[in-house]
Amino acid sequence: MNRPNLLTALILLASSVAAGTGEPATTVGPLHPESATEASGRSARYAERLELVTRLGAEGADLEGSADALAAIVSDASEDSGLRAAAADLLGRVTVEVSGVEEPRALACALIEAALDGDPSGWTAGYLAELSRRKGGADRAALVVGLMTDERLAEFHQSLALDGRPALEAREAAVGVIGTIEGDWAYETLVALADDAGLPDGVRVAAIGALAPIGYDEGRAFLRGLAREDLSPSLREAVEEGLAAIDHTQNISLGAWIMFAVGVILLFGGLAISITISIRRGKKHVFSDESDGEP
Amino acid sequence: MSDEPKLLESGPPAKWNRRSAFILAAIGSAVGLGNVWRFPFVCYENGGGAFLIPYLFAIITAGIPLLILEFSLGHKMASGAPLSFFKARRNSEWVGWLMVLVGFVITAYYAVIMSWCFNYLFQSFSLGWGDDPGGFFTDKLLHLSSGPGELGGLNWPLVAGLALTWIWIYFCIRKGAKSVGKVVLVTVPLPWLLLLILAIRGGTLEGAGAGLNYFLNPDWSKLLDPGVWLAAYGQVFFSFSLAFGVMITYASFLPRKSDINNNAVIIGLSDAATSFLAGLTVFSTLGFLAVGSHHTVAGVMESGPGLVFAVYPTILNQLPFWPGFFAAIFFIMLLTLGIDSAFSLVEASAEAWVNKLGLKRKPVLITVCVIAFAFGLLFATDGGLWWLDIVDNFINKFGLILGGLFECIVLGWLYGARKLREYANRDSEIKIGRWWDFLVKYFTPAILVVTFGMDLVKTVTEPYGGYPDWALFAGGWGVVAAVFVLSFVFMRIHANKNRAPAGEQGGGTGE
Repeated sequence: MNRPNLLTALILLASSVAAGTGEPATTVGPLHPESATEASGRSARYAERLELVTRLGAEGADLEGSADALAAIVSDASEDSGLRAAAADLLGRVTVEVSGVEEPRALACALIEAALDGDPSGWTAGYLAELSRRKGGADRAALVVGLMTDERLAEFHQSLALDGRPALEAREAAVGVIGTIEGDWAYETLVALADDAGLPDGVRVAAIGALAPIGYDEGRAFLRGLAREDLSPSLREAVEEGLAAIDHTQNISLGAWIMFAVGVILLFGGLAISITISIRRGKKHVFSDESDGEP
Repeated sequence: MSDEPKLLESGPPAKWNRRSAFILAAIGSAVGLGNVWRFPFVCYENGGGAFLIPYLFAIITAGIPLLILEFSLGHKMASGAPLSFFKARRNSEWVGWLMVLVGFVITAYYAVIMSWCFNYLFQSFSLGWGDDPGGFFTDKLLHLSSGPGELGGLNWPLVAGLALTWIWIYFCIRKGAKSVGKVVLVTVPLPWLLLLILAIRGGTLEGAGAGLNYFLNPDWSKLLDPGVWLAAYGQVFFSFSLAFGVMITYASFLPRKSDINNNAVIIGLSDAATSFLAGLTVFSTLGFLAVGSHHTVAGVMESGPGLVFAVYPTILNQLPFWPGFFAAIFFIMLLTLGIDSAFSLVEASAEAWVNKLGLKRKPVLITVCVIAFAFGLLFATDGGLWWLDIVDNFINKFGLILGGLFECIVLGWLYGARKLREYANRDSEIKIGRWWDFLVKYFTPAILVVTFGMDLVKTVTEPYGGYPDWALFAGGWGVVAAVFVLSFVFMRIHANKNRAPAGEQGGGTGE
């Protein structure tokens, strides 16, 4: 398991803890025992933040109004990674559970900061993936990304384009998450990313993979156009796989045709046979029942 | 017998004037909104086209056998569900009341869903739900509150739709089998025709192939998942109007010589064929929506009310021509699909009380309708959707499943499956063998026990829908408990006055 995935898994673990399915209340301790043991020696700011995160992580805690404080922890690259992970989880909960736009906006800003920070811990992908998994989370994730597009899209794209950063995988995962959000904005963003020759191949390949399931005819036309360009082998392979995926999505498969025929033959055919039997019998006596409708 | 004069007071029950009337009425009862909003989703979630195999297997091994069981009982005893069970086994009358009460509770909120349909129908030609049908549904139509604790006031458009629904139900069944037989000549073929029109329209839309691929593309690996097989049995059980007492009541109106087995096959396959057609219609149009909005089909898929009141209107908005016309067709289809199911449940309740009290049909029917209307007002409030969700979940998972289980035990074990099999075979073209006894006595009860056990564990360990405990106790466990308690209370009412084990069409007391 590589580092971003490990940390994403930790975030998910933290979320399960915070949701009450694991150890209650102290979300940070069990995740990062070293943080708990070293807590006394850390700065007052750390202690304050730890107290805040622990308090908010308690079951039934009121999360309203805590978005800014949590976003500040998440955005602070110098902060302890365990604390950031726990704060990130709580921020995700704020975004899902508390209504209104300000909390998603805070999360969006935190995401941008994390992305510009090179996203060393996979925050971007982790947050969005976590959001999209929760009840009603897809809408919230879409809102978060929508806020990025409104205000900080350029910075977000810039963070994806930065080369030499250690977080390429996280950025690829972030692109994949945009695909899971779906919709016109997601499709257009992915097309723009896939078409941007300035981006690393990995990001473009991820964008092509993510747009295939939602591309349909437009996606096919785009990929065919892309295929005519001078592409690296990995990109060309991604384009071919994307075209195949679109065909697979859009055309009725042989298996589907067979099951269609099975359904029609067994259900409608069986019905026809049963009715034929009843009509044949009806000629004998049922339709002209001697009781004539009376007992 | 002290009860015989009372039973005679109400006169002999009207019989179906032709076999097709019974078949259409039973099909109408089985085919309902669930065929449109439940089956396609269940199919897609459980292996797509591969789900047809467990589904057909469940129809053959549980759906049709249970239909035969209920038809045989109703026809043999010539009574509604409680009296039929009483005749079969004195102390089992409560099982019949349990079925009828479960059906009664379901009718109360089912009528509210039909009220939603009426409100949407009135908005159809102008596409009054606007660009955000989901928001229209929850905010403008339902005025949905923040939770079950905030009931809010009565929602008058819903109350008006509810009243309209109950008036419609009353006039459909006011003369029992006689009026039902006429009504179903329209309300059963019409939604089929409309569904066919919508299927053809959906099939010609851009993206239909993508939708149908999602629906039918088989995932064979799912066949190894026991949950998929249980889902198939659940779909069949919920869809065939079993364990509501409806099929028992309808069969009691059949003339003496009736082909029970073939009727069950026709009705079972008709219900399944309708579900299949609805799946084609729903997924072809979902494909259109997915392609147009750059979503996957799964991304736009919803089950239940969300499908017909939010997703489908969104699709209707985007139809290239006559969107208002197709919207009206869609909601008329839903209303005509729903009305047969609704009035069949009311008919089962009314017939049970007519049998029990020996009263004339009209006052009993009016009383049942008024009480159900009053109960339904809870679901026509701002918090009504929350309560509807809770009651629907619990009454189906526990009331209905347990009703079916007790039915199998009483009829299969205590009364004797063999006797009902021989009765069913007496005038049936297709004869059933001893395998049917096995299915009724062992197989179906086993499936129901497993389903019930899994649902019980899940409900106890995970509070349903994240609702507060008090709401789940009041609207969930409370309603289920009330249904059980009332079943025994109703059994005790006049228990010694108007019940006798005699009166079977097939002779014998069953004791």
